[in-house]
Amino acid sequence: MKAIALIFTLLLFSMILPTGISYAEEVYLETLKGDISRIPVTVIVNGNNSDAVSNIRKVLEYDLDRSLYFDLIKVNGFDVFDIRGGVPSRLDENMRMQLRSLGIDSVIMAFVTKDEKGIKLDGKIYETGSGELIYVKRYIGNDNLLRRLVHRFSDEIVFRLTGEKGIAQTRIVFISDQTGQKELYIMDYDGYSPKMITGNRSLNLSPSWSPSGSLIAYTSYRDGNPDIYIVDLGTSKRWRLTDYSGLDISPSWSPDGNVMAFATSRDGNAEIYMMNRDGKGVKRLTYMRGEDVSPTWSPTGSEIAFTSDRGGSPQIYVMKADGTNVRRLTFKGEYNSDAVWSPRGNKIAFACKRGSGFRICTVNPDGSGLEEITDGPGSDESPSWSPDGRWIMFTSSRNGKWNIYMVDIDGNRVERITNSGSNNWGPDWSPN
Amino acid sequence: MGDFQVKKVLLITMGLIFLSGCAMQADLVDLENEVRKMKAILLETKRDVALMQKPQRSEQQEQLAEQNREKMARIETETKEKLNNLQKNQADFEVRFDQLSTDAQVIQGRLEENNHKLSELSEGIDDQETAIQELSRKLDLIETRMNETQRSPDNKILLPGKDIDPNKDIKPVLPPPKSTGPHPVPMTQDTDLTKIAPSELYNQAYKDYMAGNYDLAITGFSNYLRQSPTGTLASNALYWIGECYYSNADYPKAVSAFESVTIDFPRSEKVVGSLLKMGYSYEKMGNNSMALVYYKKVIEQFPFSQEAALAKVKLTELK
Repeated sequence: MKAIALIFTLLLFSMILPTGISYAEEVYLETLKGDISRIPVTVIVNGNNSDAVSNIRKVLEYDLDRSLYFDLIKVNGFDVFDIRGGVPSRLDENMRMQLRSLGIDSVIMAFVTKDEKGIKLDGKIYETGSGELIYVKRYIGNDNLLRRLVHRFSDEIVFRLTGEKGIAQTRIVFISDQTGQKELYIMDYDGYSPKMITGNRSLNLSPSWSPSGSLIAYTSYRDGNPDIYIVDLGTSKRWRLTDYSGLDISPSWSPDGNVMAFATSRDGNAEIYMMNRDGKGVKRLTYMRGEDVSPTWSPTGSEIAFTSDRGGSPQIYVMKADGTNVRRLTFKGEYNSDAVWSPRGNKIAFACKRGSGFRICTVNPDGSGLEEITDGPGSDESPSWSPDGRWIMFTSSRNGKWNIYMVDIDGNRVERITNSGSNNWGPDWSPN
Repeated sequence: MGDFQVKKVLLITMGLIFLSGCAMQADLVDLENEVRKMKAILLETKRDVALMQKPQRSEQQEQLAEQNREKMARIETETKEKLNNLQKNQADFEVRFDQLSTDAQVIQGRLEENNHKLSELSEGIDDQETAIQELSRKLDLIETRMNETQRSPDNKILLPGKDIDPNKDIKPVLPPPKSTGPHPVPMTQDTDLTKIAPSELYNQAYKDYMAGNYDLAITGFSNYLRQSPTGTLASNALYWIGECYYSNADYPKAVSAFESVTIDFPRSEKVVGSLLKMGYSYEKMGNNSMALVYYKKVIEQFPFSQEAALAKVKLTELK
């Protein structure tokens, strides 16, 4: 009789607890942020290697937090399903109820298995409303790909839960003087894995990612004179687009990637020109007295914003992409420059001078709604939008040396990205 | 030795002539006088040299030659001084030109700022005017309703919760649509449109244009024009309608919109752009002769504009 009771109890227990699950009784909750516009989720990471587990948790939480879509709620006491026991298609009901009572919408689980062959990361997402498994995938790679694997999982989470494209796999091209020369580097959006992409021991400036993400245009003094070059990231092949003896600077790709706007001094003072991506079909766009530099395209490709001092002080102007209908956009401040059009087209970010330093400002394309989204100290310059339009990366001297930071478009959060001890400038965010 | 001196004088003269190219008018006149003087001296010197070259030179001639050499040395010093002065003048002139350029740019900037302030102010006034119009329209409506009520057979004023017989057939307070005589436009639609301030309507249409929603933008700008036909942004709205049609590759409609800008708002800053864009549109339609007409118009009427520069490029392309 006792045996039957025991079997019954065990059976009952196994019904409640799916294979492999174990959790402690003690449950407490710590809310990191109280933003109601964000989806409340919790992240549970486990695995056979404690270093890998803590690394994955760190990267995953950073990614999800920086996506700005989630409210990460820390729940201690729950353990993750061990994937080796199979993937339950539903959350255990007891666990679901508890998570639900904490206001958590989704549970993100990662289980890492590390062996001599490398790393296996099993990612899963459960909804606490229905208890259903909505995503499961195994990511496999070398040890050194751990961050990359987690970034892929993070973007998948963002896509599954919001329908939007995440930014965790995006990269940044920037200028650094690590070697003593200003060379171009590419790093992950979180500042990790920097790699040098130019090594010409000269001056390399204003990198600009092509819309497809496969090419980078930049200005280089490689051959003694500032000209525009392109590097193909797939083949590492590079070639020169302009060979005029004056300045050819600040290239900017049209949204379809076929044309490039740039500034050139071939007419005495700097003017905005346009050329095909093969350097041919050069066409002049601006004709006014004063320096016209730093063009940036609207996402529809119909407008170009640029900096001009035709009115005595550098200000942002907008024109049709054929050079017609030039109108001034900024009227506040004595120095506004480095305009960049947001990927959604609804904002233009630029560096606005306040006192002795610059701040990052945003304005609507009709000139209304001017906002200062950074407040120093030092100088904040060279803004670049994240592809989802929720962050702006920029370079700042706030901590002495020039380093790369990012700020959300409300200006509420600033995160430092580079910390290499060298100076880092001119970030350009990859389109994908 | 005499030849050498002649060459030297010639060289200095040529140098002076060359430098005079960049000098100011006053300097030019000075320079011309100087050259004339130099020519005379040169002739004199030539004569002297010819004399000196004669085989038997008298003591007198020797003295003359000595005097000439002194004269030459003096001239050389004087010329050098003049040259320095000229160079200084030219540098001053360049500085003044730069200063003028900067001043022109500053004035251009002030103009842009003032225009911006003015248009902001005018937009506010437009919005207020529309609000006042809306208010007076509402007043009219209330008046009409009051009159209707007074004219109703039992001349009864309806008070809430009082005097109402539920069995009685009550005439509706609102007159039926047919009797709204003075308001030809359907009431509800009109009210909906006027609820939005003109500037808001314009801004929304501009946003639609920027987002590439050209059809929506055309509707928006047209609504703005219907509401504020003489508003501050009316010429802009019309111009943008042209741009939207142009972006939609509907060139005939683009031409008519741009043309309206030049006819209805001849003093608008959008006229020059409209003329150029008419040229572009005609070119797109394959009508190069009409395109040329408009490119020339831009260059003649607005010779110093950015549009004129673009039109010149087009002219050379088409020729």
